[in-house]
Amino acid sequence: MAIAIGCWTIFGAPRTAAAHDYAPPLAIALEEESLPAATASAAPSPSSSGSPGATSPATPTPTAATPSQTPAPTADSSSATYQPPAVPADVPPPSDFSTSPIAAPVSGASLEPLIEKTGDPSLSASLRTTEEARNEIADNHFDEAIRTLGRAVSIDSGNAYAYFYLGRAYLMKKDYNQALTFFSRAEMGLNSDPAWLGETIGFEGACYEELGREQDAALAYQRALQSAPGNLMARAGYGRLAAALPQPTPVEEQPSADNSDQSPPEENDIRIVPDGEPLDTPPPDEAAPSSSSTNHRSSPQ
Amino acid sequence: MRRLLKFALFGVCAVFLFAIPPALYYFFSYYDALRSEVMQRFAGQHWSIPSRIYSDSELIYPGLDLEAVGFFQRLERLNYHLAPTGKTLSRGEYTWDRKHRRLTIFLHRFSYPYNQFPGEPVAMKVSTGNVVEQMDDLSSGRQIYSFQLEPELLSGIFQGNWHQRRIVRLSQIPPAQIDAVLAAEDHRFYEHHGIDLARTIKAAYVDFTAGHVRQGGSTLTQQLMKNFFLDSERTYHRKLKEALMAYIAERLYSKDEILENYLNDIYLGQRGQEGIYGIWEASEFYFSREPGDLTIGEMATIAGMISSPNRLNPLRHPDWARVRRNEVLGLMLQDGYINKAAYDNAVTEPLRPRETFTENNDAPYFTDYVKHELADRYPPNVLTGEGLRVFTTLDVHAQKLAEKAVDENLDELEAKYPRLRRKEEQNRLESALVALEPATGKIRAMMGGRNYRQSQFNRVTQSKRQPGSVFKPVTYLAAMEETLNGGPGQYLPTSYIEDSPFTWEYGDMSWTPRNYKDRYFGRVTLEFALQESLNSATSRLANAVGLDRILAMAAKLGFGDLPAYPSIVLGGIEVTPMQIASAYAIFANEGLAVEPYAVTAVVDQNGHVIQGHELKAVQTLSPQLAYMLDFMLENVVNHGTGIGVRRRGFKAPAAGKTGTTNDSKDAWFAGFTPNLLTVVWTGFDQKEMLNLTGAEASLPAWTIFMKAAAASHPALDFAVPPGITVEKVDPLTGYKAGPYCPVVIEGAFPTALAPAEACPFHTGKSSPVSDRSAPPTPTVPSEPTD
Repeated sequence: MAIAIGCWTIFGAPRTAAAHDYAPPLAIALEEESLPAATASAAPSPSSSGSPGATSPATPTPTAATPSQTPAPTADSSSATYQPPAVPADVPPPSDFSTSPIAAPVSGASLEPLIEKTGDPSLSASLRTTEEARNEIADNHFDEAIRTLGRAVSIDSGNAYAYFYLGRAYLMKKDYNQALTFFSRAEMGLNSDPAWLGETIGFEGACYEELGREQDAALAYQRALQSAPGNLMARAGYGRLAAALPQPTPVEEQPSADNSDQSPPEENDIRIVPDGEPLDTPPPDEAAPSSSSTNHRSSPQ
Repeated sequence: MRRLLKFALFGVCAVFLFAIPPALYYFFSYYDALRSEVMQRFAGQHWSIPSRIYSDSELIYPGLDLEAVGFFQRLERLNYHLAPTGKTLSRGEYTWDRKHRRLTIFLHRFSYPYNQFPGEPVAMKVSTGNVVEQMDDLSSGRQIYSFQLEPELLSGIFQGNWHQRRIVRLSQIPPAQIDAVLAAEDHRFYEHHGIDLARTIKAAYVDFTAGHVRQGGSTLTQQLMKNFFLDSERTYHRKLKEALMAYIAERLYSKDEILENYLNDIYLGQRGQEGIYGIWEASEFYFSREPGDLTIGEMATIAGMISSPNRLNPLRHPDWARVRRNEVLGLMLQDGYINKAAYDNAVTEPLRPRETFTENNDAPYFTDYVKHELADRYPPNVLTGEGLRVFTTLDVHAQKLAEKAVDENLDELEAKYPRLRRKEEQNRLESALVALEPATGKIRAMMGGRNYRQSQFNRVTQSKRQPGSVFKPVTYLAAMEETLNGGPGQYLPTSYIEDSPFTWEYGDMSWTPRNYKDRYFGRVTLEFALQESLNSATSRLANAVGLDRILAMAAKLGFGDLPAYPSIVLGGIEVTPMQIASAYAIFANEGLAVEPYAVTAVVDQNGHVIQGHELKAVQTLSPQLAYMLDFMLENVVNHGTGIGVRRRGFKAPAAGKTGTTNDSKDAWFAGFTPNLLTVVWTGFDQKEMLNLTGAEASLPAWTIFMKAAAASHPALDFAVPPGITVEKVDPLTGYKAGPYCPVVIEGAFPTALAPAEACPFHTGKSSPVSDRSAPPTPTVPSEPTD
């Protein structure tokens, strides 16, 4: 019996996934599709932290809080956490992203250009600490990176990049809900930089996909492509999951005044609009762009 | 004669047969017992090593204001020596060239939880405003962009007495230090077998002629036995026992093992309640350096202290310490440990122990809080004996500022209001302050009361008091959340509500909240109602929203299950300052809840991290909802009941809420910047009437603290999230304000609900519409619905 168990353990036991086995959707997509070579994107422009943007935040799903000496907010799914309103189904599809060149992931590059451009000493120090964490993530030291990023946030809580990499680290640790929380937080500070914003939302899509929330994932990929049409991960994800998107509500037929017995127009037929009849207008955007950033650095007292 | 001889012989035989065997038996039994004791003591863990609690480290980087972070005071508390400019630095020294604005510091080695810092010399260029301009690592010659100033020791966890020591191997102690100790205490250590007979005989002669034990002839081994097992009583019996144990130890263990134990065990002075034991601790305490970095003279000073640590303390009695040092140097020369040149150098070397300082760096309420947390996870014997190192979130500089703010405020209140003075210490006016980083949950400062020695009761975490109006934001959050979620009511900052006397009927009871000084404002906006902390308007709003929604919001914010009474909306519950801080941190952190914490890491004796901390957050409120509330709370500080913050000179963007209970027994102020949140409570433990508002009693302490503490953080504005529009509105009409609108307020709105049209009433072409007859903005029903 013992020998049998031992043999099964050695030769027959299923391989358990380790952290380094994680193959994000991006990698899967590259195997399946033949894509043009990526072209390097422009160096990201430094953004002041916390700048507002036009998109609404993604939908984080909170994790249960740990009880402690000081009562922490509970994470009961029914009431204790923020559950944002459902994203309306009629989000327009990203416009013609297929012709946009593929962009390299901005988060793979060093943060040095950002560090050099910022004139804010605490943000600079926080970004340098974030850069340390970026390298730790690249070396698969995710716990170390989380600790380093905690320090980065402590130095400057407005450093949106630190939150982005916290999301990355938790994603690699497969804590997808926590990753979503931090990506969502990062979104608020990165929405003046389309490449970073697109990448952040793209990773949100990856988290949703891992959680089995395909519709949310598809919507996130869609939003990511609206910001960064060249984002490969979002493209691949959108390609996989577009079918999961809610279908638009069919428009009711308008009967013709003179030809009531005419059959409805075929798909791709050009509809001739009689004079005086208003043209169809596209549906409004989900959220209007907000005003420009107000998260400027106040002068020290 | 022969008979006498026979008798004598018989007597001797009798002694041999009947007396000596039992005596031998007794002696061997005694010897065996002592042997077992010695073996037990040497085997395994020799000492109970207390755990140590450290503060947070401080990151220094270009652009940092050294004055704002109390840099020089930190250096003093960390035992860094100020050396003359131009001197070649040893580890633990620094120079400050004011003329050229150049600070050079040789950082201590430090074992952080996850990395070892070797200690490097760093040079900093500092502006006239005490801001770091540039930093260079002098060992590599390269520019650096940050370094960490190591944490400060706050306290130990020990049982009985605090014997602080660091256990090191003999190989880690420099040979010259060992030589100095041997020269001073036992130069024939490697020759005798535990007892130095010549020395003992000489000491016995001196004692005999004096009539009592006067001179110690003890070897190192005897001293070690005395420290391990015996008291300091000087009797012949104790001396004999000590000698026998020393002999046993020498037979069982090597000279090096005995010497190693000795050097780790020896008592070398006192720091407050903390006893300094062992060569390593003494080296760091008296000279702020490791033994390997000491000079020959400094090593001789420490060795010379052994015979009388308090009398020969170089900090307190430098002259006597110097005399004894030179004696030891002479003995080292005589024994051939040093040559004449080294001796001449050492005797002329000035004795430079670190400067004494009276300021301590403990934070007793905070360390108590940490100990309670640790006691939940570790058994007492581990905490008091396993030498754990506990790294915390406390910022000692912020803690000092908190102490100063609380003390100053209470003194001012008692001076201004003599009715608040009490003769008995235990009845005096009290205050509590807690400061934390909303984004990380780090507790940076904690004052549980005005005097820890008088009362260890931690009012931050243990005192449940009524929060009064600091609880009001919960109602406004519940109302606005309903609107954001598309609920039936529309509650925006510029929505109107009636502020007039009103009675809330519930079940067969009723409740009539009253405004402060019975002053009512009629029809007001929600923003104004919170800004001026109007009880009636808030209660009407709560009534309209529904108590169940408010209770649900309170539960979300960490207040647990509250009773369903209307009075809770005005803070008719009991909470701790920490609970208020925890809830307000969510507002400050864009709706993200990060649990406050105090312990960053726990490291065992072998350097393994046995407890760590990860930053985790829960999105409890939407960023949009949090921002809308923050905007309203900024108005409280800029225009409302919290305006005292501005009048007292705090300029950075801030939000907050005053709190005063109806019975005037509790006064609160909870306020925050994006980087730092602080809650202050003031009142009497016996719940006597204070008759002061939160603005009068607690806001001043908040402002004193935050003006200094927030200076070390970047002055951030509150981030406007997507989906929010900040708009100037005419509150009389509800439209976007134009240039002719007589009253203009700014509010934060969900973009979809923000006023889009300009005010058509105040155009400058027609007479302005009367204030009270303006077309209504959607309002909260003014009649109670229950």
